[in-house]
Amino acid sequence: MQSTERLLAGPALDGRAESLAEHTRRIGDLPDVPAGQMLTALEATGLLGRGGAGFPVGKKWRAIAEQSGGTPVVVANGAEGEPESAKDRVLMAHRPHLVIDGAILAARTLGADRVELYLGREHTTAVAAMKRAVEQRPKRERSMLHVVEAPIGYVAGESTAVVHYVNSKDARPVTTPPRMSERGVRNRPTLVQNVESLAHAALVARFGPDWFREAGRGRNRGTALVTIAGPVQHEGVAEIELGTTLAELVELAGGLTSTPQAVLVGGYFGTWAPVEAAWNVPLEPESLKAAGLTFGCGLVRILEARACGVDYAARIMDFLAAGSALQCGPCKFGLADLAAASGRVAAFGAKRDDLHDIDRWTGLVTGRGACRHPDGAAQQMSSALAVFADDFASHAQHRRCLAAAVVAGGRQ
Amino acid sequence: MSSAEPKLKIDWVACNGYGVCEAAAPDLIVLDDWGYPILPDGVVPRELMGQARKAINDCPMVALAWESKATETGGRLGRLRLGRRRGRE
Repeated sequence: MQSTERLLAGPALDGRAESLAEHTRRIGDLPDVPAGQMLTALEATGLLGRGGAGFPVGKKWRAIAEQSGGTPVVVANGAEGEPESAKDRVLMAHRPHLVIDGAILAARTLGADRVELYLGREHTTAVAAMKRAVEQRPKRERSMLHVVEAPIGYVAGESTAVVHYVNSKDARPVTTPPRMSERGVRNRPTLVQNVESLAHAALVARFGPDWFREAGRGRNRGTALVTIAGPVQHEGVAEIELGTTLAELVELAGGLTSTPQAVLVGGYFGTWAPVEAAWNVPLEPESLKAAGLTFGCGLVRILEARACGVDYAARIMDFLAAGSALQCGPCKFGLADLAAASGRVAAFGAKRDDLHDIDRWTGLVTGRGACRHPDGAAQQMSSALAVFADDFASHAQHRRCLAAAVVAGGRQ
Repeated sequence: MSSAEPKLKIDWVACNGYGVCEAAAPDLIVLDDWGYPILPDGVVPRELMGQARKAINDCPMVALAWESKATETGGRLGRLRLGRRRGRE
C-alpha cells in the first residue's frame, strides 16, 4: 500500500528542515481565515488531538474562543516524552513551518498574543529546526513566538505540567481546576495543543474540512503520524490514513523480520493485544476502542515471539514509576510497588502474592491522582497481565520464560 | 453545602496519607495499601453526612472536600487556615 502524505509531503525526510521559502512555495501562505469560519471548519474535520488524550480539537479551540478571562495564550506541545514515539520530533525536525503555521493560526483564531513553543530539550534536532524556523518568520510573528525547552521526563508533557513549567519552571502536573481553558499560562486562558494537531489545523486552513476528510476510512478521518517499532524492515515514523490496518502498516514498513507475538498500541499508557487479534483492526480511534485498544500517541510497538512480554511490561512499569512526579500517594507508592513486583516476576524471583497484588494494585491506582499518569501506567500493566497471562504464570510458578522456550525450540 | 447529591473529592497533591479521615469516617472511608483514602464511589448517604463533615474538618492537609462547585470556596478558605497551621510548626 501507499502512504498518504500530507504533513510529511514535500522534500525527503533526510534530517533537513524545510525552509520558510520552500514551505511557502510548496503550499502557499497561511490564509487569513475568519475565526468563526476556522472554528466551524475544525469542528467539521472531527480532528482529535494527537498528544495522546484524543480530545476534539475544534471543541477545545471553541471553549477558549468563547470565554472572557483575558487575552489567551497558545502553547504548542512538542515535549514528546514517550520514549518509543518519534512522530512529533520527526515532524518538527522536517516541517517546522507547518507546526508554526498551526500555532499562529490558533493564536489568530483565539485572539492570543503569545505562543509558547514547548519543546523536549533532548530532541536536539527538532529544537534546532524550530529555533531556526522562528528566525525565518516575519518580525510581527517572531515577536509573539517564544521557545521554551522542556525538561526531560515523561510527565513533563502532561498539559497541566506544561502550563506549570511555563509559569514557574516546575514541570509537575497540578490539581485541576482551575481549568487551563480559563486560567493557564500567566493566569490567562490557555490552549495546550500537540504539535501534530496544530500542523493538521494549518492544512485545514488552506484546503478545508472536506479535503481533510477525503483521507481515512472509518468514522475518524484524515491522516495521522504513527511510530512503528519492533521486528519490521523499516522502523520509524509514517503518515497513514486513519483506518489503515496494522497488517498494512507492517507492509508499509517493509514487512516483518521475525515472528511477532503481541503489539502495544498507543504508547506506554497504551494497551497490549495479541498480534493476531490486532492484525486487521483499523488504526482509527473508534475501531481501536471497539477492540479494547487506544490510539494514544500513535505508537505501534510489535513484540517478537522470542522476546519476553513480562520483562517488557515490567521495564515500562519501571520507567513510568521513575517518571512519576511523586506528588500523589497512590502514584508515588503504587507505581513503585507495581514496578518492584513485576520486576521480581520478570526476574523469576516472584513472591507468593506478587501476581495477585499486581492485578489488585492496577485497579487501586487508577483514577487516584492529579493527572492520568497512574491510570495510563495501570492500563499498560493490566493489559500485559491479560495478554501475557501464561508467561506471567510460568515466570511466577515455574521460574521459566515461555518466550525463551520459543527460542530454544527454534520456533521463531 | 447546597448540592443535592453530596460527593467527596480529594486533592491528591495535598493528601499526605495521615489517615485522619478514616478515623473520622470509618463507615465511609478505607485506606489503601499505602495509607491513602479510598472514597466511596457515589453519593454520601444521609446518615453518614456527619462522618463525612468530620473527615473534611479533621484533615490536617485540607485535602478532602465536597465535590460540588458551591463548596469550592470552602476549600480555598481551608487553604488559608492551613497556612496558619504551618506557621505554628
